[in-house]
Amino acid sequence: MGVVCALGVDNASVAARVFAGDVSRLTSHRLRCAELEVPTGMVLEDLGPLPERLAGYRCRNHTLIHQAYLAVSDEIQVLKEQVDPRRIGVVLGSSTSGMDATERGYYAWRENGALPTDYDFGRQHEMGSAARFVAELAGVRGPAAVVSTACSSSLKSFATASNWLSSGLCDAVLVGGVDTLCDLTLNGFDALELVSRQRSNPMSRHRDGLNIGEGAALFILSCESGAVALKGIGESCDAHHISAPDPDGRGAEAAMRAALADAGMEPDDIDYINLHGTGTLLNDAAEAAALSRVFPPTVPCSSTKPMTGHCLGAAGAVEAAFCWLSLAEEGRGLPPHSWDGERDESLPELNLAPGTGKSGRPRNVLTNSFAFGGSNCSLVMGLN
Amino acid sequence: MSDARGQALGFRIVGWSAWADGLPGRTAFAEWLAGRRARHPKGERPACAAVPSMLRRRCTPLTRMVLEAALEACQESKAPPDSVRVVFCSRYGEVGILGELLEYLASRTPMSPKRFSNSVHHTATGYFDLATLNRLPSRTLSAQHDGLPLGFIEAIGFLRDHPGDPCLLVFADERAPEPFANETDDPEFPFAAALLLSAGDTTEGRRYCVRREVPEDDAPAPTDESKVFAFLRWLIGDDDELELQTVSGKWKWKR
Repeated sequence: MGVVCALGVDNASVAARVFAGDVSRLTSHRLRCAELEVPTGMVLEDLGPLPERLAGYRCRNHTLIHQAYLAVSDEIQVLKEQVDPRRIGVVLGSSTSGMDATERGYYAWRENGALPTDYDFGRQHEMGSAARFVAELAGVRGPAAVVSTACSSSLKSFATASNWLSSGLCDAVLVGGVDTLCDLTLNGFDALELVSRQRSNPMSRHRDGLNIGEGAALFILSCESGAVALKGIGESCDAHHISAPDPDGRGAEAAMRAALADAGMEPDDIDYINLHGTGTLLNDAAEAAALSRVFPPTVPCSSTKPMTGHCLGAAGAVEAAFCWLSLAEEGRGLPPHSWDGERDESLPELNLAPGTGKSGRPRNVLTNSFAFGGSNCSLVMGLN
Repeated sequence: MSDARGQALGFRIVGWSAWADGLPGRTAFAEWLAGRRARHPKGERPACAAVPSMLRRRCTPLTRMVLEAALEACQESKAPPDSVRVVFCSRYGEVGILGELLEYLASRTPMSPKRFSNSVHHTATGYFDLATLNRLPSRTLSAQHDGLPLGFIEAIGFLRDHPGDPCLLVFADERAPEPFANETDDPEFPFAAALLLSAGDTTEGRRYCVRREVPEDDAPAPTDESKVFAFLRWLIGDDDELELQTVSGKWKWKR
């Protein structure tokens, strides 16, 4: 597994910061369409260049997923000796694709009347390009696709990847997600009045919105036994509103119950829940309501979005990576919930994982991603 | 090394429909596919009569085409639209409003929140759910020319896991706006096509199967023609088998 986000660009740095509850890594970003600066979860480190043979794919999305790929590239090369590379597929979740390159290209066209000579709509903008890029990067020749359902994209990508294994289409799938901090999403979410001027404050009665982030994560999914197993996935749709969740959280509830059923588990079997927890008024209310109907109030949970921002199409995979890190090694505990401690009395009480005191190593965890258009996904992973 | 020929996966097609400006509905579209009719765009948009007008008003052109094709496919197949799973394959999603959104950014004008909400890749599935109160899970993929075969794989997966629920497989794309219009030839024209699939053990609909052969190193470069139109052309014709070459290998459909 490889993960890249505001907390760092290698697994060790990300792990150290996420379990310490490091909220110092958000940076201020000026909006293009309003006189405003807001905190964002930008990846701070300079990232290495793409291989020259893939220069046509150059955009931030591919730079980010390339960085995540580096963490698993050795494992992938070993995999290619055990499994026919033509039966290794790639499924990534994304919502932005190479939008940063498209924005820059468009601004240049407005100025000079021409797109930049290195702009390539097919390789940089087209939604499916990230999967094709990773396939060429890794030298695998199975099918490659991008799942694009806004904020649930890279959790749902696990469902597609699982299907490719169950169908016998692939013997292994590189699965994950990537999204880029760009003007479109930052200004678009601000137009919807969903962006906070402060660090997000999930589940607090003072919560007032989300922060946009960026990131990437890449996993290797196969039928072979590993230390951590994908145990269940649940999906649902709200059919309520194009950009607001069902306030009762019925869709969220259905997705969580479906994930548990798929895993053959009871709510009591879950040791930690990574919340979607964006810090918006509506998401947190709906999610808390749904959680309280499914799980006992004692289950530790947290939102990691105050540390990374909301990575949108990459959020599912990045937060699955945090779950994976928590499971994979003894002594890490659970990602703590960072907030102002001011409970919203109108919401059911949740056991928000504290930052002090070590929590035990979990055996099974659940993570949520809920998206525009009422697209909901929950995923259960655990120790084998 | 595993077998180069993948396992054949079975399904039934109960009905289908399609819409494009100048090819309004399944009959017109089939005539065009068969080469018996030319397409003369009229600047029309689909009626979407089955969609409540307040919702219809908020739909983008791509979403309207998807709703028209999807609802007609359900109706023709006698499948209740609130009880189908949906697989939506689109290379470019709501690319039609990309130019407008970029113009807001370039001119530093606050963006329309409605337009932004309507720009996510799977917008059409969200409106389908709202129009039909469908709460079943759906999937949205983008995979260049592999969108066609991988859409089938996704739908067949739904049918395998939930054989009681038919699956609507939808393909739709529109032309990229300026200044990107010359960057791609696909699609030839904006369109939506929807097929209603069901699991093999029902009696409705003709049986098909699909399988994949892994790519050979000396395989010819795949053509850039629309795989969706190639499939629909085969569907309405008489040939027993269809073989389509993509970057991920040879995909074969059989009646």
